[in-house]
Amino acid sequence: MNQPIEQKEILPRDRVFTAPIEQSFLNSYRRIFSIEEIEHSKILQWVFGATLFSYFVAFNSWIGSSATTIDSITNNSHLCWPYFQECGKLLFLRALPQGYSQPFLYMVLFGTLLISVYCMYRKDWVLAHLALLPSFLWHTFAMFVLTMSLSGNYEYYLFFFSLILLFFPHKEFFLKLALVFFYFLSTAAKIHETWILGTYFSSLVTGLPLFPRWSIPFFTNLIIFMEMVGSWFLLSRRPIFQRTVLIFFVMFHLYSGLLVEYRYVATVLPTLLILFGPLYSYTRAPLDKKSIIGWLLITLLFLFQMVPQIIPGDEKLTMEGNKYGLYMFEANHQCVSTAQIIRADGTVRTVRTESASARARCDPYKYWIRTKGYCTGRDMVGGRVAWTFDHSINGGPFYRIVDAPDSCVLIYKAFSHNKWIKTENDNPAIIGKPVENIYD
Amino acid sequence: MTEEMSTSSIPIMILKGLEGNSPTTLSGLQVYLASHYEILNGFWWIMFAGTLLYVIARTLYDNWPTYPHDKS
Repeated sequence: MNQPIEQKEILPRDRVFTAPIEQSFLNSYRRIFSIEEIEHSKILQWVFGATLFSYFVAFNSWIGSSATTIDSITNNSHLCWPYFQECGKLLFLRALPQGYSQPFLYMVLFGTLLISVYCMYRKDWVLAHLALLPSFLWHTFAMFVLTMSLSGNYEYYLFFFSLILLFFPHKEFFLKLALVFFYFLSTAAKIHETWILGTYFSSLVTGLPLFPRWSIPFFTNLIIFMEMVGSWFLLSRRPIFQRTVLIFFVMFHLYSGLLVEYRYVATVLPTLLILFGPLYSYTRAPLDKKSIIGWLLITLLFLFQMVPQIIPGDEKLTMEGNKYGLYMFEANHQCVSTAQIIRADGTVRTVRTESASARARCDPYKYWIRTKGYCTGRDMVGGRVAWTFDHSINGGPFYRIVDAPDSCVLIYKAFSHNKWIKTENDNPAIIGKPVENIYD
Repeated sequence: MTEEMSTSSIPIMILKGLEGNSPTTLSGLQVYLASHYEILNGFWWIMFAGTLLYVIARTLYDNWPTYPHDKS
């Protein structure tokens, strides 16, 4: 009796792109980006889905944001990265109610993400990969070039997970290592009184959620230990250690959602469970030529995390280099910025800005950019903007870390110390004491 | 004579939305830890560097293809 011949399903790409040159391109694309790894790995396929989900979540908050619109320039709210302070020239989108080019862009991206979902369903990982590419490119361009305002740590996670998943060889190993390394690197920002004494939480009205105030230093130091040392056991061959640490971090992320809400948890927790949950198996570290790019990325992550450590002064106070590495809950900030706009005719207008939440990072750079917005205009020829910036961290005193007679002439250096920002070693004047801060 | 301003005499700064809240204070444990802060800070940095170096050494030892224990 004849056995039925198993029909191999024709992939969408073989139906749509039939020309030899198209097939040649797709085959090269598949080979260059090691897509066969995704085709053969259930873990990577799940991570692909989790990454796609993260883009939906990210763009859901970005679609209405004015951070990437030209209107952010006119209302003086745009914020460029210190390494590209001319980013405003690249802005072209408009969001509702001023226009709809930005919603249009995001709905196009929504469509490409849907195509990617369909291609995943049809197991055509080359087209699924191609369809995810526009989201990756826009996310990267918007976050690292167009604005600094969208640079939440969860966006870094999404960027690096996507980078490895889409382009690197040895995807599974480097995804696992990247996630563990993020835990490890995040402790470089936590080696500070913020976490060693737990002053981030004790200076909040609400304290550390669910736990009594006296216990705060126990838990903050436990987190430092688990992220610094314990997280490496996620990569262990021994199930007892691996599972225990996994449960700890699952609980940790669920707990952290009390403060950070869904966005961060939705990006990290699914990937954590996929890489280290029921599908986990030990993966040997690759040391071949193809792995060089992965190791290079890990090295770069470490170097960028060290930038704020190398710049003189307490980065939590000066915020210099803070966002080049992971910075979640690095300090509980309160600040007062006072700009006196002194026009050429001698009239003075005072603009006082106050932070209202521990999450407002109180970066002098951000407030300096705002004061720069007052420097332009015909009536400012011959005028100046006198500016003071008072900063308190973790319930400590307000220090006057900036006292500039004219902020219009200041220059901000992206990777080194700016002398017009006083560090704790410059003995900045104490202006006052803060009240307990709020977190919202 | 120069008199240094005492922090306790500095008025509390009131920020928007925070009127009526208490000034921040440290618990007894935090005060104790603060007195040993430099040691604790140094301890965590040594732990950070030590962990990283151990992981690098262990990764190379376990995975380097020409290591003696791999030749069997």
